[in-house]
Amino acid sequence: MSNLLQLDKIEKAFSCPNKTGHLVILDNIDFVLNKGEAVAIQGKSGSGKSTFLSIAALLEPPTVGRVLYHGEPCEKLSDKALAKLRSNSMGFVFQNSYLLEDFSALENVAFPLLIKGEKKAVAMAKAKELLAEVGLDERFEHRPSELSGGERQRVAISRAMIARPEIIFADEPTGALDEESASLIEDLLLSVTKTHGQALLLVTHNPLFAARCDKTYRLENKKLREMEVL
Amino acid sequence: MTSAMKFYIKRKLGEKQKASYILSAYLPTLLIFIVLLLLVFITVIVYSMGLQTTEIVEVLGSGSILSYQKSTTTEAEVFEVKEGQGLGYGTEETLLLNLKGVDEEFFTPRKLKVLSLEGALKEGRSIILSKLQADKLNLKLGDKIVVALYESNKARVRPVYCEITGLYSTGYGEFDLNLAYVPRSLLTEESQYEILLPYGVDNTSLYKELSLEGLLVERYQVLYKGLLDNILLSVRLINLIVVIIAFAAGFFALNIATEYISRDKKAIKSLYLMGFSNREVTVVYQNLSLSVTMISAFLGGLIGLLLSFLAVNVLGSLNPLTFPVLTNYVTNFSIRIPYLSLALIYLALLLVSYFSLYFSLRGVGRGRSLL
Repeated sequence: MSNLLQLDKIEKAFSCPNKTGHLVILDNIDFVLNKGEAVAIQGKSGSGKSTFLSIAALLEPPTVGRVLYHGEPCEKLSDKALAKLRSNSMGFVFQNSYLLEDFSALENVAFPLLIKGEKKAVAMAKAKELLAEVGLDERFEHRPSELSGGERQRVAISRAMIARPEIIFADEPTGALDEESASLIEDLLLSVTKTHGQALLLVTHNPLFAARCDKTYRLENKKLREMEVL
Repeated sequence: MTSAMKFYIKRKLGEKQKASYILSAYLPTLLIFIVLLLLVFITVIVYSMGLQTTEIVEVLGSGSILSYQKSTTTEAEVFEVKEGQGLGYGTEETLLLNLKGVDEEFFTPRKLKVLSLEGALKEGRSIILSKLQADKLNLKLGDKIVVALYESNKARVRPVYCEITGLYSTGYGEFDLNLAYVPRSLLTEESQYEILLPYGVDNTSLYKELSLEGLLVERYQVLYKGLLDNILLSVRLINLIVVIIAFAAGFFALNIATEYISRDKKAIKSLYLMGFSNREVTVVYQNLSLSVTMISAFLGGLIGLLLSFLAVNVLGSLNPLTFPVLTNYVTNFSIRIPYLSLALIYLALLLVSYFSLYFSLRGVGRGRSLL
């Protein structure tokens, strides 16, 4: 498998409010995500999982170290280039789906394609296909407020997938769901990323969900440690 | 602007949205709507009233230039007039009248337009009163009136029995309460010559020309200096206030932008994550907020303009005798739109909105806090 995303000796520290020093969250972390690979990150609350994810997704820069995408360092990319990279290569799924409330499920899913410059009719057709794939063909015109938590997450996954990104970043995607819906979303997320050959970088508290990934890491004491897959 | 940006803006502006959304989206602009409504209304009224007052003063007061001696060189419209004073006796009241002795040719179409004259001046013992004077004296068209003419050059009073052959109404109480027209032959004072230049033509060069000729002349701007200065000052003050308030309205736009941004914070961050750049998000919210602000401002202005047309009709129907305060204002005038002042208002609003929005959008972070 080829190297898609690489974090090289990453350190992240925040200034303390009283300015007496720095709070180090991540310390000297190396990490590699290969194409089509599903990797889970686990750790206690406050261990820095989300910070790790946001650095990997180029949403914030590390204090020290580099993030490489396809072997290319990203720290000097402009705002426009970063936006293009996110649009073309990255998809995001959050605990709370963060759908656009004023748009229908169909429009939410189609939106990333519109951002990429796709024609509206084409974007809508592809969005219909994807929503049908996740079992929401009866819910095209419903707005997020009219959907259940599980349905919202399915829309969010479809939205993350539609532009055929190389990586899906998922932060506790089942955290706000009941057991049944959570299981459905787990299956869906893992199966669609496998089907489309996309890498998955997942942050989860759920060890069973994590165990279904190709690799599992644990963030503890500012360090990232790979765990054995049972 | 990309199709995604347009799609987003249209939806946020109300496309396919429920009435409750549209209400909540546009409610913050209510203040801008009201402010612009009042600003446009006041500006249009003051501007139109000011122009009409100036026109009345020029046309009915003394012409563009008043010459105390006859000029033989000018090709401009010259009217020989005499001015005197008299006491008009009504059935129950008396009224001091400023009499202007004129010939029939004096009533040109331009003057008739300002006078709204009913009837005409006849040779002999005829008088044209204003409707206001007739009301006050309890007289009507065709009635007879005794006017005690004060002949200043002879220092005597001569009673004359005149028929009211015309009634006029300028809508300006200052003139309507005082000015009456009689045949020039009725007055014994020295003649004066009113020179009326076409509308909008500057009288400075003709004034200089006649002065160089050795004539004793004066411009209407000097003869009615106090009045015209007041009008000018009012218009300037209004313009200044208008621009200041337009700036203030621009700052209200900041509230709108802040409201939008705080309401849409999650959506904005989602847009970043889906691939919008900082610039695109800024452009989207600038357009969104500016559109809402300008739609409200435009609607406010439009209604302000409509109200000013309505107000003219209402003002025109008010009788200065019932509302004495109106005597000092022209109540009968047509609306003239001060395009420059209105453009200034909207430009100030647009600029302040744009910059306040630009600075408020700088505070919006990227998607990180979603994770």
